[in-house]
Amino acid sequence: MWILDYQLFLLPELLRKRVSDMIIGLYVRSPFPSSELFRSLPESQQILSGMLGANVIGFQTYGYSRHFTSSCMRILGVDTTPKGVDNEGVLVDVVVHPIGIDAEAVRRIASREGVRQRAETLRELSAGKRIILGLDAMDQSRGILHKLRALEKAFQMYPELVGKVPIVAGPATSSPPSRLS
Amino acid sequence: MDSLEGARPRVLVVSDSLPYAIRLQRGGEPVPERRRRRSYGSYDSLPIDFGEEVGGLVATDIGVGSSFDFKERHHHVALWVGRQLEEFETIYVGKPAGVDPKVYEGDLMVAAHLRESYFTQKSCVPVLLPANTLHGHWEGYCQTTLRPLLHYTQAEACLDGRKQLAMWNDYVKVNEAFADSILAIWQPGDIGRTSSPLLSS
Repeated sequence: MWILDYQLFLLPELLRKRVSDMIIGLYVRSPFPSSELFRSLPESQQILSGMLGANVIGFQTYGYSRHFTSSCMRILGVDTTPKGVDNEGVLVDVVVHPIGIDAEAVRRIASREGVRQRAETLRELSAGKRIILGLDAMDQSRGILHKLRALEKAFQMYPELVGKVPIVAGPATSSPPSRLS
Repeated sequence: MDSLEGARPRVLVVSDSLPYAIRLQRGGEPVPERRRRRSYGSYDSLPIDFGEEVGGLVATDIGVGSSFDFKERHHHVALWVGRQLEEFETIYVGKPAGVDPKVYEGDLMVAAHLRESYFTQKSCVPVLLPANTLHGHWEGYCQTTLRPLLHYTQAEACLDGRKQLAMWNDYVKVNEAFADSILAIWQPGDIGRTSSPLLSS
């Protein structure tokens, strides 16, 4: 049983209550904030207990997994170890498995005729320049503004780059890549 | 759904929405794709149109005799997870993306027909929920409270206690409905001990 993401944080415990020996994994794709922030959520206890119904909980980074275990310790008052969280005598494993990109799928898309033509056109338009390509969901958490500010800073620090670094940015969604521009 | 001798063990991959889009078929041909505009909930002030998502059903479309076809949704993480688990038979559980709740609300026959079609054609278990509960869960608790908190952008959080409580109740209801849908198809021994790297760490 693999459960994905914060829309379903209560599900592991709901299942555990009804089938005690179910094997349940929960993967959290989003970040997990520090316990000081997380405890400000009125329902923080219910959410943490809900998650602890799983046998194993995965996070993207070590930092997020630490935030989660310290939230359990401070908000629920349960024991934690470097490997997991004690849930009434059962150790819930807390693991770190970053999601990579599907390199094979990207390669497939990149080799399509239409994509190759488009790439060729972009390279011709920007001959002799370095192209920065950004594909981000139009979403506050993707840091698009931060990327633009970083570029601005780079231009201030290295004025010789101005005019030499075209940036190609597009919204990435679940729509087919051919529709991105 | 008897488990056959020697059949692969089943694993259930549960995500908010199912990784397949549904389309109505008429006379063996898919009906021309319904075009659904995507907009991003919390960005009302920035109405960007990201094109169309394939598939979808509205209430006038279907009855108990309708037939459907299904199309993979692009880059859906549940599919990716399912494909890593080669030694398992994968069953997907989630909300049916693009299906207007009016299609199944108050019509048990249609709801049963939808469930049957999703399951037999794509090993999917659609969690069918009323529109207002869905709204309180996703546009409500997830988008205004949980997601901003997890991403350190709490400025967007809901500050109205009563509204917050109503949204939380919908969040609980959706999680419970998922549990019911899962337990309806759960069989003991679906997952035994396994050497899968995902489950053994």
